[in-house]
Amino acid sequence: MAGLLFRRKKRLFRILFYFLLYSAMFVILIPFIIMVLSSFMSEHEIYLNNYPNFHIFPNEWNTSGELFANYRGLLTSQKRVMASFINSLKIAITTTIIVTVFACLAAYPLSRTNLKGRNTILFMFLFATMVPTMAILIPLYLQFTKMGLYDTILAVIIVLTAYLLPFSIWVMKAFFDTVPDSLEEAALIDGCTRLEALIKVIIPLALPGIGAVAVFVFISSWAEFLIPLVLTRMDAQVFTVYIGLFVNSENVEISKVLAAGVISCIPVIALALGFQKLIVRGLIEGAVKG
Amino acid sequence: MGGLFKSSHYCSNSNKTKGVRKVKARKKKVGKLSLSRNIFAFNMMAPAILIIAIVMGFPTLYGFIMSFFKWRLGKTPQFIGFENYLKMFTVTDIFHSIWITILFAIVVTILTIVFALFIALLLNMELKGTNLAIALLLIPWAVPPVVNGVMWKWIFNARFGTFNNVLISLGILDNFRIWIKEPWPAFLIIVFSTLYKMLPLAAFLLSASLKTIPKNLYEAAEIDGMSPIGRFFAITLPLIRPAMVIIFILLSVATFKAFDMIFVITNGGPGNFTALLNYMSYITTFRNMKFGLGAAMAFFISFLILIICIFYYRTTYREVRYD
Repeated sequence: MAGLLFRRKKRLFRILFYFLLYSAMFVILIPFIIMVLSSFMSEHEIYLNNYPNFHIFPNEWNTSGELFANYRGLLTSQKRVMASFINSLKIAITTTIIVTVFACLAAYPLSRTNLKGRNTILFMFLFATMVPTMAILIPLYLQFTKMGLYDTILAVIIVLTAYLLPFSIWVMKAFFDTVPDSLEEAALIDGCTRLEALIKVIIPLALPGIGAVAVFVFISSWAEFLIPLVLTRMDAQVFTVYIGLFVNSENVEISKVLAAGVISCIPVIALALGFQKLIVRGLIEGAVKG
Repeated sequence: MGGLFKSSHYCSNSNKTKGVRKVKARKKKVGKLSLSRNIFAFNMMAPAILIIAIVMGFPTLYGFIMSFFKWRLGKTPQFIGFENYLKMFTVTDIFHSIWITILFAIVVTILTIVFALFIALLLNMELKGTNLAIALLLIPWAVPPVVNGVMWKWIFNARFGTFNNVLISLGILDNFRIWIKEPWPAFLIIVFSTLYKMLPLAAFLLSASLKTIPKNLYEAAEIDGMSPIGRFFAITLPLIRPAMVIIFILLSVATFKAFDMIFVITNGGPGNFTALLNYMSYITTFRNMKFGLGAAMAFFISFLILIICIFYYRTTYREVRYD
């Protein structure tokens, strides 16, 4: 009898935990769902939706018959949307490539050799992640203005690369550490140079790590706001800055801003969902081993 | 930082032996001329180190020196010593900004860890929807903070936002309240949106740490008659403490850098109430055009971060030693 009660109690707890997990997930998704749904409604529909009675699920959300009206309006009326989106894309892709390559190069000796300054360098990288952005942005802003690089994509790429390299090197090093030495030694004995050993042996084996780093860097540079805000104005404006300024402008139609927000999310969410196993593993390895 | 997440590492009382063992293993590597290896290593690391040094190291130094000068655009800077730092403390609402930044860091860190622990425990129970949960959990993390801020600004919108409308239809509220214009609600909104953004990362890290706790400890405690809550406090919490410390540090540093949410949602809040230090620094530098002052503020933030790191380092170091 006691055994049966115990089992039922355990099952009740189990059900409770299922409920908690799913409700937590639902709660986490709610803001996002609200944003997406609202982005499809025009101002008038939002008004109808909320007054006089509030409908949790929008009742009249497609009265005009065109679902993507806001998106179309956004892309046609505001010329800067397309331009800033493409700028964001350029910056994110370039930064990802550069950071991945440099991080691979830098992580190799950090993982394989036993230099005297190795720990110092590693800790310096750790501290580099703790620098508040404004501390480096003010001098950089002045310097770039002097060099004529203000409001260029190049400036943003340079700064983002330096900003994202320390963490990427940490994660890359952690992944390189998981590749056993023996394979590399065999390659070296067979006559490869160190660089060849890196490219042909280690990188294929550490490919998950490289993928994880690439995804992190892309998502981080896509999401960056303060650095482009300071270093760019009109020519090199990025999408995040565009949204930030848009939302603060006068007489703004909120649903258009939400539509812009949804557009901004699409690449990163696609990446995050597509590579989720890689990302989780990368986060964990980078923190556990690092 | 090596292997701090592994609870077994924490249990075994020899951090040092493990380190020595690691070094010994490394020494058995491919034996080549150490000189050529050093040059080679240096060459490989050169691009990365160069960029970081030039873009981050040099400006930090330059900025630090600059914070001792008086800068106006177009005029030559004058050396004024600590005047900027002293002047910084006379800026309107600066003390409020400092204290609210610290409060923000504490509140967000604690709340994030509590909720993340909750979710991490749920994730580790091997329930059926865990993979889907992980995928969904990545969404707040991947979304740019600006869009996160826009989401929350919309929800707390006075007239059409979900929050107000739900409260009114439930009868709790009578009239639309402009939450963003009230000091403490605005602060809470920013806390909440930052929490929302930080939760996935913290949850994953804690989940990874939870996985390293050997199951037989729980079984032994259960046989000995411990209640589940007792097991949690006696086994789980102590063994994930290293992970929690690291997350504490990461979160605190991240909260000191908070900017995007403030810019999008409150713009400094009703009368500078939610103007955290980073935001203050930005406004001082780029709207009020006071570069030296802004640099001084930014370095004050670095100083605070340094204090936190030293504080945490001291705490962890002492923990490991007395074990």
